[in-house]
Amino acid sequence: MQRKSRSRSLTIRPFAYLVLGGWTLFVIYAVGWILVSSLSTTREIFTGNLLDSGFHLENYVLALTTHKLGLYFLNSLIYVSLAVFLTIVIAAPAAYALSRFRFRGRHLFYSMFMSGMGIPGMMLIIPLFMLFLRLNLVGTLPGLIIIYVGTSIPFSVFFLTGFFGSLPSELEDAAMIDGCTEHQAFWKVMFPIAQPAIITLVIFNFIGLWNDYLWALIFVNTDQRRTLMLGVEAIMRAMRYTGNWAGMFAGIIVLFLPTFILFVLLSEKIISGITAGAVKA
Amino acid sequence: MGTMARSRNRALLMFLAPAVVLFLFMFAYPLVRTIHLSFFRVADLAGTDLTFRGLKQYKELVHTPLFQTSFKNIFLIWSVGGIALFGWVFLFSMLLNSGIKGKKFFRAIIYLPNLVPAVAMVAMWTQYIYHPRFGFLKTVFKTLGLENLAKIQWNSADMLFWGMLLAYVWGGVGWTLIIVLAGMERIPTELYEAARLDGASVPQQYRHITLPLLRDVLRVTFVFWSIGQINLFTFPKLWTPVVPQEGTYTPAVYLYQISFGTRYEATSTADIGKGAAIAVMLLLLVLIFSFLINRLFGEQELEF
Repeated sequence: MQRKSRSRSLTIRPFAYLVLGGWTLFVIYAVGWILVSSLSTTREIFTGNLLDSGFHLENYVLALTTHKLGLYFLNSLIYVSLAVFLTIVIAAPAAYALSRFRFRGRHLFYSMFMSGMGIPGMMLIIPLFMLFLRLNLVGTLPGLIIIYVGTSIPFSVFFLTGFFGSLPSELEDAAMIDGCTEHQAFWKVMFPIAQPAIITLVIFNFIGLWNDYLWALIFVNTDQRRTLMLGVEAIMRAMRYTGNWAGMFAGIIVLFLPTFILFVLLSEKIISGITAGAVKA
Repeated sequence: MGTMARSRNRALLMFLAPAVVLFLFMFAYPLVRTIHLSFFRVADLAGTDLTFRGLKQYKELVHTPLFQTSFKNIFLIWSVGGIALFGWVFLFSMLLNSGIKGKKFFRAIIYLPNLVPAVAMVAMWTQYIYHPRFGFLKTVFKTLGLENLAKIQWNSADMLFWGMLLAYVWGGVGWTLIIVLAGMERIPTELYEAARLDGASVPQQYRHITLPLLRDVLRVTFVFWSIGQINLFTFPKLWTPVVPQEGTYTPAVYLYQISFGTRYEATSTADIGKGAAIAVMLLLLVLIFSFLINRLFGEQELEF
């Protein structure tokens, strides 16, 4: 009996390598082709003689300057970094309060934040846009940051509440006995201890906001204030007129690179973070 | 109240208040307002010109052909796409668990598309893989001598929807896969050993051990999948960057076109009230599906 089942799993293995290897090769080839094309000329792309005339780095220069991807990259970096920072500053104390303080309505507030995770963005865009229009916040830096922070709060509170709940309560008791106020107990004791969870959350929020499309599209799709995603989309839309394939592929690589680097460095952390979060859900 | 309790309450307030205020502003207010607006004709985004229309708004919407198409599209994505995606996830989970080397590497590669901005993915597929002149699929099929397959015009109106569905499912496998894999890792191996000794084959083990014990994980991923497809916006919208085609309309894309279309795109008339009505319908769908799926899968914790 055992012989039979062992040989069965053995026959799956070559098939597994074939399928998984094939998939990997496809990804590498596709990304590699786009990379190589971004360094060629448009004519070479169409004739299939990539890189015949050497490396055309001017495609990238064009994408970064004329197509403003350099500016948009900076925009995205500012929007996302500020938003992620502010989210932690607001969500961490709230999560701490929800998990460590006993008060009436505690469960109500927690459920409220949880429900925020389930509300689709579609329900929010129309009134928020109308409100922001009246407040002159459309197409501005603060406008999008408020949006980004607001939409990140429910998940961040949920994530950190779970973490804080798992810590022993003696920690802040000890701090308080030493004469700390609640604020000091949190920022000087609990917050530093939460570093691993905070870092994971920062990575999540960063990636999620960096890849945002809907909010940026509605709130900052102007020539100066777009995010990188919108900038590359603009190149795609202009393709009808410019026909600059090489330049477009350069734009794609620029867009792809930051997340790819993050991926190479942090994939294990990201994956374990997701599985931990999903298990809790 | 003693000073300690008072300072404690003050601290509590300061810790919690910013998040709560922001939540009410970002979620509670828009939720109520959207529902409210859905019953009015709203002429422009300044929101000053409102005419009450009540349920007529919803009725008109349901009878709009483009809206019906958009619903048909997400239904197909949810059902056909869902079957393809979960099938692929199960296949990969079996392959990855068959004792191969480099499991973590392959898992990360499959997850990669989930991390990459949607524009990059869409551009990769529509501008390269599906390209009629120098595309990947065309080159591969031609080299293999499959002339008929090489001739497929993936970006044409007929194939547009299916091309998009393929690319979308391809990119979506990763996220579900790592959650399912994590769930599988929590199943004790002794159960499999016992089953093997009893003579169970690998597929039988799958059916009687893996699937039942994965029920919670499957429930969560299925709920997320459903919610994701009901609200699907980014991928289809980017697939046809200039103007949406019939094959890439989803209710969310339609919502965007009729609410923000005049501002950013080439649509001529805005009907923001209808947009709000679509949003309300999507929310209702999300609630219904979540409820039904949770019911179907049951919420008991399985002890093992």
